[in-house]
Amino acid sequence: MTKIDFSFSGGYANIKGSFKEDLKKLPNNISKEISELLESSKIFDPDFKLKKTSFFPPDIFSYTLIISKEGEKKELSFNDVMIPETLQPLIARLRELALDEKYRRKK
Amino acid sequence: MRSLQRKHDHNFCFCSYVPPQVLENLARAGIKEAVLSINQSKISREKRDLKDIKTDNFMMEFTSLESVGKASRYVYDSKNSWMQRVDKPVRKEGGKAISDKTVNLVYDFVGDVREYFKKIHGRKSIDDANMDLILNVHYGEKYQNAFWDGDEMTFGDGDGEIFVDFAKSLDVIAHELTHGVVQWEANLEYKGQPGALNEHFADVFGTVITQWVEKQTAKNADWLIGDEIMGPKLSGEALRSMIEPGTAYDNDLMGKDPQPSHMKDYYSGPDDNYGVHINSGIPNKVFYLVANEMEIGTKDASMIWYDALKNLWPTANFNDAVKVIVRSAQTLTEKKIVPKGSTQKVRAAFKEVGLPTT
Repeated sequence: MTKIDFSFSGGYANIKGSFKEDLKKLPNNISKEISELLESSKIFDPDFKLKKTSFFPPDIFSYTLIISKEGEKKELSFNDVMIPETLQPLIARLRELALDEKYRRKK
Repeated sequence: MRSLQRKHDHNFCFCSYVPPQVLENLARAGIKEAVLSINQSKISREKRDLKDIKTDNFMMEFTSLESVGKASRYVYDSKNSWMQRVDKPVRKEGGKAISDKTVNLVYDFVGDVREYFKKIHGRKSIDDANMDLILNVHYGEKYQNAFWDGDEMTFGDGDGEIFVDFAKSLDVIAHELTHGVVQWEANLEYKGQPGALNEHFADVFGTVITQWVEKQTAKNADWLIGDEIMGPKLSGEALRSMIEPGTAYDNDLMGKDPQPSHMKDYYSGPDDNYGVHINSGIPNKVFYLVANEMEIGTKDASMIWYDALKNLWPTANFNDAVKVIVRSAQTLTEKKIVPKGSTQKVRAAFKEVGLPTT
């Protein structure tokens, strides 16, 4: 069982969105895609680190990401300039799903 | 390393001896040296922090070293990766247009912004010391943003549905590069009222530069921010309206534009870094009133705001901004740079939005 709780806000457009789902409840293709992105993000690797900064540039996105997976839980708060390259594809996809979800829900 | 020195660094600095709160009071009283000391000390700290991000890539720093000092444009293609400065620049200063339309648009628009600050305000690039302009396009996949990271600019392509290519808008580019100018001048903190002022100055010069390039006047300009990057799902909408903050958008995807246009509707919650993109609507309305309704005109109003930006400091709030902007209007009236009566018009415009607060 893997649960994802993702939210983001900010940017030039000051938009926000969230995506909270158990991967089992997603369509198979999306569930598989997210699982693979999660794996390649190396988020559960012991040496996984966000980039360090206390500088907060204007107009960047801020994120919170909570992943619960087989008894493990990872909670992260970060912004665009702190994302390691391995994590970028997962965040990009979750951002997209969050906006899709928002659009679908409102329609 | 890129020079972190600012043009005033050689001026005397009493930042080591005077407590910060005293410096801020001196800045409020219009003591220029206090403003410079506060800004100098803050920017040095922030740049040191920022450099930590980049020390994992020595070549990035090395590229930075090579390109300092000529206000030259260097456009890099991120090729939809999440990296900045990928390979070599695809277009450099003076280089011919290439087949990538985004690269050429960014190159031209950044040239417009650089030209505006030089011709109208005598400013030499973002830092007023001929800093080179590093520009990254096609950053990430469907990345719906553009940002100035303290050192260089980065543009996403948008998703093509909600937002289109962020590089195709002069508004966006002028806004983001103005964040760089703010960083080297007032260096306003990015939260609460200082953050809303930071966004305000970026919106002001975003629209001022667009009007300058497109030869518009305060009367015929649209005073909209971000309308050019709206995709098919948001066609006809904008991100902010300086004429009437709170009316830029109202749709299912984004909700309703939350910007207030008066202090009575001030947003005091924690979202958006305590309202940096929200409460900027209040001073934005003031600038519009001064430039258009009170008939000072966009150019003269921008002279006042630019002068004020150089006299503000990182923690300045809205009341501080009123004082400093009014003081700039007085100074520029005395120097006959703006017409007589400008000071009173600026005060009247602030009064219309409920500023200063008591």
